[in-house]
Amino acid sequence: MKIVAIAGGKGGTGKTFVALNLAYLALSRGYRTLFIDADVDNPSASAVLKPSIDRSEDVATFVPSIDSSRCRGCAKCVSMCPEHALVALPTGRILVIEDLCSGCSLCRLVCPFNAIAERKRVEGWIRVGSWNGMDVVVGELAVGSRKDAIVIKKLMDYASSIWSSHRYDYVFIDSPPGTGAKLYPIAKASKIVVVVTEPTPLGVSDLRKFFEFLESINFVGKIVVVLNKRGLSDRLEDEVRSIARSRNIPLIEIPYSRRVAECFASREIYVRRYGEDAIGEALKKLFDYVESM
Amino acid sequence: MEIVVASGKGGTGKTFIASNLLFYLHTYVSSSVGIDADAEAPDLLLATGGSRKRLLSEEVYESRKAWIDVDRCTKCFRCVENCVFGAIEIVDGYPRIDTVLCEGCGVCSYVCPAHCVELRQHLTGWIYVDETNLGLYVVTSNLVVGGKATGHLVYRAREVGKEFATQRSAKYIVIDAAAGIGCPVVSAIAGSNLVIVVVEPLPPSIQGAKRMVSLAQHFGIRVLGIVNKFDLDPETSRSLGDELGIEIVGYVPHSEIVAKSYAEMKPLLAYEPNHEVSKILLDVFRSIA
Repeated sequence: MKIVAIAGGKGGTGKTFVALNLAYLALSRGYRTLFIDADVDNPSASAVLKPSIDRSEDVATFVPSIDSSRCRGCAKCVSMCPEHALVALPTGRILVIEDLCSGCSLCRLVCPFNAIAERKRVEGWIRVGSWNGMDVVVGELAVGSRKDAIVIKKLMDYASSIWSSHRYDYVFIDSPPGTGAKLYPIAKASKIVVVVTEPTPLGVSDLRKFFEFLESINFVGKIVVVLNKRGLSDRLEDEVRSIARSRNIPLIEIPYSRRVAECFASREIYVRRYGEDAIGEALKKLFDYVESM
Repeated sequence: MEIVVASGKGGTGKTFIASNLLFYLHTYVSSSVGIDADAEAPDLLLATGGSRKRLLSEEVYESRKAWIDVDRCTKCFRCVENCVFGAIEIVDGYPRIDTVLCEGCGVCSYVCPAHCVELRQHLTGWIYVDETNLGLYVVTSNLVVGGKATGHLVYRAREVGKEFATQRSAKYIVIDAAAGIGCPVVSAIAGSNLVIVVVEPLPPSIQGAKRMVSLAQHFGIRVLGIVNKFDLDPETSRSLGDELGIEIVGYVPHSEIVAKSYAEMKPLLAYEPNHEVSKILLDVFRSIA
């Protein structure tokens, strides 16, 4: 089983485009495939695939609920809360500011009167379904929730329980942009990371930061860089090539074309429609490469 | 006045709009400051000329991480059982903190009967203030790789930005938000005056914009929309105002000139002021300020 994350520091470089096409190529070659949409802030791949959903689970975290019949207003919870999410009012009542609460439950542990009960707050959802014979797991953050990292962690825990009990040939994870802790559970679970970048100063800078991230977590899997939208800048394309070369990382180049955006507009998978053009060929080359890894 | 440029989905043109809006405001309206609130992938400085002079560089220590003195550990594993973040693993028979997952809440330290867990301060990231090669002022938040507490860092960048704006008598602050609607974006928009949602007429972007609009409305902030690359699907573009329930103040066409201006690290308004797309941007920005 190959677990492949499609990632990259910058948004909009083409992660979802690459992920969807790799998954489609795996599927069309008869591989048992699981697709994980881990871009919980905005599950883009799901917006394109619209998979049929069989079941959905809440991702909930702890928030304290103060039992006023037991609370004596000692405010030990207030002084211990690392997020300053609890406030002692002059009346002696304890106020919970849910938006600041990290859900650590320290308040419940420190309360001498057992006055803090656990309440669940929904931070997002994990949905399980399928698309054309491919299993799909989607993570979605609730609007207003700040716990994107936790939803991703729970999504990856859930997804790994699925892939460890099924025999998939391929697992593709469409990752959110970024280089922070929320990427960690994805990179940690992956054997191969496809890093998608574009030839702009922004893409190059974020590519460097993404490599720093992989190094900081001691990523030991394999890496392949995708230079997407080739043709925008010779100088920056050379820069991406030399970054990959200096690290001994293979590079696949995909030329720029408006057709890619037009495919998104009609919710079409690129290689299904234009399998034979230069972009389709590059995507197949990428898949062959991943297959050989 | 704090104006946030956001989108819900990455790569729809936030930094493109933010860099040009900053250039427009600072050049034609009133002294302004830009804030890069995309701490995981900060790019605003690169889109506004690059740094000519770093005016401030500040380390931010808002993170704490647990540290276990294994020599005193009795292997009761209460820390493992009580950590809700799954940040303590058992390795070679001892608990070990995964510092990326650790939130620094202190539960492990509290429950440890051997008192062998302490909390140590960690670097969250950096705040920079730069004067760019185009004479613009940009405050950057930059998260350590694999870091947490992005929200704290973004708040700090906004504090620094406000102080700096006051010193310079700057009237406008333009905030370039991170992709998404999560923690750093909440910190970027909370208490701001206006959110400009940049949306493309493509399903992932429309979905992201909807989520962004409802987040902004959740905070009671005024929202305006700019449709980027509207010509990819003109019909869908025209219906976006109704679909999102917001006023669309501009329709910007897709053009390779945008990528070229990026390659030169300049806002389009500085790179090709007479280009058709620049004229459209100017019209859009005039309607805002």
